[in-house]
Amino acid sequence: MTLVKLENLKIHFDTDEGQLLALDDVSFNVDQGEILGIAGESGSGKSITAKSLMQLNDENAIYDQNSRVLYENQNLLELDDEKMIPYRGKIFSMVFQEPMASFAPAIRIGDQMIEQLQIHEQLSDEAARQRSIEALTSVGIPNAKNLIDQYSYEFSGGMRQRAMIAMALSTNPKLLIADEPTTALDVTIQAQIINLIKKEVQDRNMGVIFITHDLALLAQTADRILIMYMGKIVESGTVYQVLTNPQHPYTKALIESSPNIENFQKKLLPIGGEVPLLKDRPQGCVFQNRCSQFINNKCDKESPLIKEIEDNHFISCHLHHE
Amino acid sequence: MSSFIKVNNLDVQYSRGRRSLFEKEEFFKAVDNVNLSINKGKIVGLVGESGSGKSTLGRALLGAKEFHHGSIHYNFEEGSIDLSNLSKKNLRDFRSKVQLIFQDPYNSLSPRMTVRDIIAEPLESLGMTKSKSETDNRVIEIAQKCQLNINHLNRFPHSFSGGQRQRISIARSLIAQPEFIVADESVAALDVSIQAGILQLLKSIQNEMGLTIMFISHDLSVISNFCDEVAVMYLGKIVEYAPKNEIFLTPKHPYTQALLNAVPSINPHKKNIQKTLEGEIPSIYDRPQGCVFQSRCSKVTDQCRQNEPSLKKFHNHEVACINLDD
Amino acid sequence: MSRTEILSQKQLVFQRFKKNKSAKIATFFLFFLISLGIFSDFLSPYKPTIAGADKDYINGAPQIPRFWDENGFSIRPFLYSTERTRSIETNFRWVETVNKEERRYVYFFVKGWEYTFLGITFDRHLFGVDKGQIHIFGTDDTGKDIFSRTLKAIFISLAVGLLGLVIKLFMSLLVGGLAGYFGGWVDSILSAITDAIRTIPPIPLFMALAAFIPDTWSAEMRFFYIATILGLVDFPTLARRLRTHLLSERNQEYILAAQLCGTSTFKIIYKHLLPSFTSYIIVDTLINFPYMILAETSLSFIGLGLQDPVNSIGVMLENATKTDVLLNYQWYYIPTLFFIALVMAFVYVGDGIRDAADPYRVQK
Repeated sequence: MTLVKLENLKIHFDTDEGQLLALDDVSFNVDQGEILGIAGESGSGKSITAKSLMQLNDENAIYDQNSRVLYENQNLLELDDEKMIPYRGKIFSMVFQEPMASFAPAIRIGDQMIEQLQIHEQLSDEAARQRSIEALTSVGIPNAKNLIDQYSYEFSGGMRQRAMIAMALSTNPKLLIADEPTTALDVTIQAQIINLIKKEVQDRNMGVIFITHDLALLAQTADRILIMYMGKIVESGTVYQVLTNPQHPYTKALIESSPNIENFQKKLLPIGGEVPLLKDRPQGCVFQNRCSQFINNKCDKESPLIKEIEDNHFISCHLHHE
Repeated sequence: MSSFIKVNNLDVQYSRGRRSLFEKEEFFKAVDNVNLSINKGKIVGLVGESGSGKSTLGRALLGAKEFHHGSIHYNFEEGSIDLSNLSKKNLRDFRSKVQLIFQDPYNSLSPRMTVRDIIAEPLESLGMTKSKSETDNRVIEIAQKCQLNINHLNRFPHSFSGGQRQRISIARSLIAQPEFIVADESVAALDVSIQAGILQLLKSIQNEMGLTIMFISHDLSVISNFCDEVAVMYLGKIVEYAPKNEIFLTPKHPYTQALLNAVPSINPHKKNIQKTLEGEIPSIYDRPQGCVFQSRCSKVTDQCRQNEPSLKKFHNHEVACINLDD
Repeated sequence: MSRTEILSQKQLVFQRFKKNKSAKIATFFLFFLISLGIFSDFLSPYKPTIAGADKDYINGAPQIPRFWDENGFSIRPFLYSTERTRSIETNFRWVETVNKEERRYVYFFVKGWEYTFLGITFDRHLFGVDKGQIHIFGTDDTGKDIFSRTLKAIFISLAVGLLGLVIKLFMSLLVGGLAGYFGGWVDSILSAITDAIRTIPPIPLFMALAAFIPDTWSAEMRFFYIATILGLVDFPTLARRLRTHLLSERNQEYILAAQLCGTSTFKIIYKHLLPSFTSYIIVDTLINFPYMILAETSLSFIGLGLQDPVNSIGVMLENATKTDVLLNYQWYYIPTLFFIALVMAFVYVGDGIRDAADPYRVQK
């Protein structure tokens, strides 16, 4: 069952250099019980996409009038701040990369969790505290009854991230958005957190949007993935389709440049050039100035359309004709 | 053959400060009794998680962190230098022969200096050139080698991307023609596609200049691709040290094995990170007695809790564990 | 995270400053007033000291040139002659009688008393009269021309403030720099000293220090001493800011990079750390300069600062404290207007620069 559907999400940012296009026609859905991975490097627009679900983008973000974020037939982009409240922490919940930045340093962890529960579910102090202790225990924090009164700096990195996940899950959200949740963590702790998330997804049948630059992590975690570049989805499909049979030149290049611990003789191929500045967005395909298979007079003139090359495997590239 | 760098019984401490004016200053060890021998021309990877002490070891090797116990000995082409007794002249020679490439490309370049001045700084501070034009020539030469646009040398760092800044950082560390480079998480802050370019550059320069590199990283995939030999650290100790193939194909220490199991495979058909290492690295203030890994080890025995295992050598493979599979 | 082109810091600040109307007007005013001070010798018809006093026109009211009267129009502005008489009819008080028949014309670029400017001696002045003297702001009780004195006072007040500023900057950089870069016990000792100076209330401190000046000191020595006091009492705040900035910056990676390049400590402070602080110094200096002038004015006003013949605005105001003056010779207060204008101009310009340089302010 589809939880949330994004249609034609198009965002411009109003800057000193004019209106710059940051997201270009991003459309996808997330189903219940599914982990959707969004992969991309810096400037890909993956974080902007995630923040759009909760309208958390900066004030100078201009949403195109045809953009829609549909949840139960309601376009969330039409809602004002007051009506967005349940989507910020209750129905949708978010986990960020830097757990130190998510917890207010001068407030105890417990107090922050309790406050959230009181806002979203109007629980009493006692009930909220009890629920928070349960949430902390279920993510593997020992001695939660005492640790709930500690400050975030007293927790280690791994524990902080667990606490943040606990806080995000304590309101029983339908959709969890995780933006680089394990990037700042050690690899052994990362594995623990991933297993925790997968278990919660199974137990609660919730949807997850998992954003990261690490393709291997998505190979282990996600069911479907989207590859983003400069605000466009260039390839999407199941994790098996995209990673074992990549079709878009960017996806292929990304895989070629990633070191692989199972194949350490592999020669890493860097992608030449750099991501262009937003104001230098090229006409035509966004990847043209770095693509090894650039077609003159085609890639620099028209933006490629999205084509389905096999069952539910889509790409946006001129190399593939219907 | 004597090694290029020899580290013996090295302890590096940090101060925890005093709780009050009347109590003694508390110290804790970030690097504990480390022995290491590095041969010339090798790329040695130093891998570990947070709290392992790898950064501290790197800094100690650079002479950027003082140590109170043990010794670090360098056998340079022109003579040897012992870090325990550095004279002023020795220090200048040392600075020209040993350099660091930082992790953060945004913080490691002086924001109000031009790129040309940043790259030229080692030559100017160490008095290695006789004229400004000689300095300029050497700056251009190294900038070209690092694939920087020489027309942009008069700009400031903020107009460059992360990858380009890292190239500037590399150019600065190479201009004095060092013999040893410590690269501390030098690609961690970069996108994967840019990272590959920087690694390629480092490899080719290492080849050309005969450099010895210590590559510190938490990213095992990068280490597996880039390094010749690997040392694995945990809580201030080296628990395993072997050539790359041996470490990644036949790891012997339980920690190394657990670490490798935790690295996600890019092959979606091979789900490998389900079996994880539980718990967390102990606090450095609460160093356990006996083996550092006892709290998380699946093979722990009573002996592990009493005696600290030392690094034992099997051919070219060193391991610090008493419960090996052999 | 994408990049956008970044203008240099200076260009950005300048752009924002230009948009601020009140700051622009204040800048013009400021330059105007400062020019008055710099060119005071040229603009003053008479020497501001006792040597230029007009004995025939003591406590005289301001004389404003006219262009027209019953006798006709004149392109050249003129003044009436006046005569001082004293007789039984006037109760033996000196009285000025105006003779409307006799005109004294105002000329421009006249020859007058000699002065040196940038080492060269001149004798031309902007304006003067053919007979007698012209006092457009009136005179004081010894006949000194208040207009000339006001312009000179602007110059002196600015000069003493500037010297005090230089001393303040030097002390701040030295003390703050050493404390911030070295930390440890160097910092502890230096911070204790600066904090001690800061906790003493400035006005009594000024007064105490100024009261120690022996009478035998020359005017120049007094000038330097007052400027030094101003600098010494005011440096702690800037020193502390610099120390804090250095303490945090010195742990940045680029400082370690410089150390590993073999760069000496002095060069690190000079090349790497100070440039990041210069914009702050500039803003701080401009905003705090009026306080320095205020301090000197206050000191001189109560008689503890500069004294004749070195007259600053404060010295001039000291003469204006008698009731006699308040009731009869109100033109003594004209320098006050200049003083207020000067301080406000500085404040508005300083505000403008601070607003332009502050990256967190919401732009209107």
